[in-house]
Amino acid sequence: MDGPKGSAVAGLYDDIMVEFLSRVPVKDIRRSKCVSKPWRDLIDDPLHRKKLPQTLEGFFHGGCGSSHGSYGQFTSLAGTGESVPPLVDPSFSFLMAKLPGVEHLVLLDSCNGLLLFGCTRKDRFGYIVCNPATEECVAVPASSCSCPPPPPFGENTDVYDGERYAHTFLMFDPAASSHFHLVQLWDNVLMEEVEAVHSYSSETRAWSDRASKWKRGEKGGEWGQWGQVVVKFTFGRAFINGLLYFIVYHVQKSEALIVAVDGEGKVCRIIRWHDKHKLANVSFIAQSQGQLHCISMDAQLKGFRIHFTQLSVWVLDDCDTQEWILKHNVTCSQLFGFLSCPDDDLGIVAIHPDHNSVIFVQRWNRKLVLYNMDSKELRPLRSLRGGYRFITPYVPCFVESSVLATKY
Amino acid sequence: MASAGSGDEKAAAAAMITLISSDNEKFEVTEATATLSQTIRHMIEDGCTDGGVPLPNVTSKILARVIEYCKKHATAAAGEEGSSSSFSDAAFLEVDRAFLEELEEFDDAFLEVDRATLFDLILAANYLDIKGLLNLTCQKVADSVKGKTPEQIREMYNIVNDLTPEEEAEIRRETQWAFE
Repeated sequence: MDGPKGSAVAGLYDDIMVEFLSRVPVKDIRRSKCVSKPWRDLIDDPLHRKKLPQTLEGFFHGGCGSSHGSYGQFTSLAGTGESVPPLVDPSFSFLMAKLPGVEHLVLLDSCNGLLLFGCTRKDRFGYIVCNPATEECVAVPASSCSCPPPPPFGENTDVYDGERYAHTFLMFDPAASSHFHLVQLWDNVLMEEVEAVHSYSSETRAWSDRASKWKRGEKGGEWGQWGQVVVKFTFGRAFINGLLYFIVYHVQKSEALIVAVDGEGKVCRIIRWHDKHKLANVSFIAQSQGQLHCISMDAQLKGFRIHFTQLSVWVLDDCDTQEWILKHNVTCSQLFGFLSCPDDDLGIVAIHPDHNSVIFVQRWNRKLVLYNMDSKELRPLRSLRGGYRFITPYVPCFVESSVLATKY
Repeated sequence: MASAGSGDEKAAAAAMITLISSDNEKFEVTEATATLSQTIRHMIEDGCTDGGVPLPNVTSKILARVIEYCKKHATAAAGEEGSSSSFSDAAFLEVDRAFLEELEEFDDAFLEVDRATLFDLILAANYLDIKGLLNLTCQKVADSVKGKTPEQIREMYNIVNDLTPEEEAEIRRETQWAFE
């Protein structure tokens, strides 16, 4: 029962190699490309990619004021970061071909291989969910005619020039279902409150309004639990076991909260940032190695600006006890060689989902860099010449899906 | 002909299938045991099992092990089906748990084989389309690779590194994070 000659392991056929490799963590798979040529070729083969686990490949981003909105470029994590792998086309020309008349595309979110765009088509605002690896897409209408626009993405994301925005999050886990969900929060920045919550399911192809459970301004509704907040949409998001986690800020209580909702927008968990970490501001959350990670910054006031002196990475050990375990900390001087720097000079972009590293933008020189927590090294990935907007991490998904059949 | 997993022992015992290994050894098994294999299930449905099922890809040594696995798991499946109607929920859960524990112990012991046998079991499970056995054996190989360096994997599976130093350096550069 010998396998064919040139097989990766004598005695095993390629199909069976893929069968067992699909049960191996992605980090081990990537490392095992170094075993031999047959191993490398087997793992790189496009036929096998859809069966093997995937990880963070890079980031979509684009220049401010470009006609393409907040995308147009892709920075790969591999090598120098300058190269664009053939697996994605950052111009998204396939969207224009499949959905003619689409204009003003804005990249809003990404989740396990799918991307969420806002766009206008025939002068009406709507959304597109697409998979750039398979070049499939589906259009989703706006949640209602009174739906506010998405927030403006820019380098100074904390500066708002409007009153109301709709933050739309994409939830998708190909291991659990081929269907995706959208959860939308209507944020009134002037009133410092979330006005409404809507959700969309690709299964029913319909938006639903949580108004009856949300009960804005009334006691006993979900609004009372966490509605009087501002959504910190640039502070990352995490999708773990079917729940979406994001950070909100309670202005009156001066408290950051992490809210977890399901695909219907129902609040399943509210996680407080522990009192003993009060001096450290919560700055970012993400999923890594299956657990909720949180980055906090120790801050001090210098003149009129808040400076950060130390960056700490925490892991939520137990959701029920809400206990945060310190995973890593690094001082500003260890990172950059100066004692402190203005906190808005550092834009955290992602935590690697399978490795102990943090990716962020050094805004003073517009460099995208990777900080390795294990080796404590800083590695530049790319200079973001011409500026950038929202930088979206990308984990590809190579599985075709009938859910993303072009429709409007 | 009795359908598989009916729980009717008389009917199941009556329906026997003969499996013939590559070295011409004959194995008599119940239909419930044999139909854990989707390949054999389809053959039975097509009515082409008279005179035995020749399995030219599976030796008698491996077929004996595969049948051992199928017998155990077919019994467990029948036991679970039977118990669900005759026990209260709590008792059912208790029985269910005991079954699962016993099955797990059986699986662990079953996997105590040398590598050549393990690979032959994988190939047989794949050929016969026995999902549970394929999952069990593939997981064992997957576990052997977890956390290992390329050198350790090469050594474990007698693999010659035919990558040029440049090619190896390229992979390491691309996926530096995976080597830390």
